[in-house]
Amino acid sequence: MLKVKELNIIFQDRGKPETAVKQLSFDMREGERIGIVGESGSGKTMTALAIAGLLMRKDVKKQGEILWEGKNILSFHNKELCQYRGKEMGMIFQEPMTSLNPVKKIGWQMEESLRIHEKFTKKERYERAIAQLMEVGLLDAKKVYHQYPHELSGGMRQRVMIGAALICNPKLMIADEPTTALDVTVQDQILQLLKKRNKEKKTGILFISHDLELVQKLCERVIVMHKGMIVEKGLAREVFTSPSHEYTKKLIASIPKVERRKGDSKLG
Amino acid sequence: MRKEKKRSFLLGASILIVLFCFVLSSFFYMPYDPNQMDNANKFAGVSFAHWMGCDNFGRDIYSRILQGTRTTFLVAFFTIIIGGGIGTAVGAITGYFGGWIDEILMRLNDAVAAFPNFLLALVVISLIGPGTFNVIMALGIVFIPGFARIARGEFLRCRNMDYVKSAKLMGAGPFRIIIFHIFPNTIPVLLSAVTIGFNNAVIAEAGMSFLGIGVQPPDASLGRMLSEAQAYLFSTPSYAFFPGMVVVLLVLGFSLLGNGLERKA
Ligand SMILES: Nc1ncnc2c1ncn2[C@@H]1O[C@H](COP(=O)(O)OP(=O)(O)OP(=O)(O)O)[C@@H](O)[C@H]1O
Ligand SMILES: [Mg+2]
Repeated sequence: MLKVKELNIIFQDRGKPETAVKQLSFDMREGERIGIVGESGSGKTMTALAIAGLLMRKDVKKQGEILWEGKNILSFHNKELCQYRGKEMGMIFQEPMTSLNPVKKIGWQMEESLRIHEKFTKKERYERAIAQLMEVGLLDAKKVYHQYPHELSGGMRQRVMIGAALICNPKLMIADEPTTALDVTVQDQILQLLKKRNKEKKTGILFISHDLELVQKLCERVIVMHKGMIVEKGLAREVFTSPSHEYTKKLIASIPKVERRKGDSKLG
Repeated sequence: MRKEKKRSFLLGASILIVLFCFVLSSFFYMPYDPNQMDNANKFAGVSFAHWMGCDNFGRDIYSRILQGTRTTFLVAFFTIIIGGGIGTAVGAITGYFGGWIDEILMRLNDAVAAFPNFLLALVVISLIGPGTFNVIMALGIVFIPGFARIARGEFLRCRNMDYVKSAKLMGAGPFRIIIFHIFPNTIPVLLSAVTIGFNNAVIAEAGMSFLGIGVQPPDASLGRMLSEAQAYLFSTPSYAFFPGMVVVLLVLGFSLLGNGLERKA
């Protein structure tokens, strides 16, 4: 489904070029859950943006290929990009507080992808939006539909974002640290939500986080990034129980003890 | 502070609503034909029959003020539609896309904005001739750069917002983003620009009609009336006083309204 081949991302805007991502390659099959972990500044977000086709600025140089069903996203035209985004791929990111338009009702924002990609009637859109809000756990959907973002909590907004990103049934969902701004219980709920979606509709999930624990809860395979490069990749279980790279070991060691045991027991 | 803004907004709004009601009422009831001359009533003072008096041709000043305010509103309204509409569109495109489009359009904008507003309107009028319609065109053109600048700033501010990124990720194209996603967020700021623009349009129309290049006789406009009244400033002060009052109230109303809107944004 998705094949990233020797991707380099080079910033050229400030005098000397700066490489944010180096020789990154990985494959993703339909319905897979892949996690990308790494410390701050390791290039996770840049990778995600490139895959989402959002890194189209001229001053950012991209080398290599990102193949979506065999076609290179990096050479997509604007039209093709708009077709791809929202319909084939959905993405959410860290800031649920600001990712929703403050002056638009939740319902309108939920329906936006449908208006762009589908030829639905108003009523069909409404029904889809309500169903989708229910699916992401906003059970009071009819009320939420008519609310504005500032009336919702962070967790609810992130649910709305997930719902809006998934409403056209994309094959891939990119989640860039979707839970960092949320408290722990809400974090778990969001993870459950993504997992459920993956199980039920075979939506592939590319989950990005600096939190190893979350990644091992959700993902089957994991990619560890450091300074723009992949230092280790493999099955989540194997990487966590027997890390081969120094950097991964350090990352694992930095998880607080209690949490680690909890995670271990889940694996065993 | 907030309360003050609110009070300013309410006061401005009420002044304008009252004026607007007067203008509206004139469509149903106008005491006299505003252009009807009457030799017997030349310079008539304030009375029950003509409660703002009559002018040098014996025309009823109250009726002429209603007619004139109508014209002034009309000119201001269409000026804003033209100037605000085109200006916002230009600003939206340059602000959102940036790059060479921005470079070219904003240079052009600066060139136009370099001339004082009123002077530029005079130049345009001298090219296309006087008259109500031409005043609207001239002022509309003159107002474009101001609106463009404000709109550009707003779109520049908004284009890197997360919700714009979300919209892109849903597959929205640039024009969809500009119109449906960013524009609603710029309305508060644009609205306060509109009130200021209205004000300037009222003053500019009055000024141009005063100079005799705006609304042409015998039609009434507030500026024209002031211009005609100045010869009789001492003999018949009511002639200049009432239209002058209305201009002051209009300007005050829009200023207060704009003031109240400004910080709310
Ligand atoms: N505008 C820019 N110009 C130059 N370099 C940049 C620019 N933006 C980002 N970078 C580089 O890209 C690198 C990767 O950033 P990225 O946001 O992908 O990290 P990340 O792994 O997502 O970190 P975080 O966990 O903090 O989100 C950074 O180290 C930074 O040096
Ligand atoms: Mg990041």
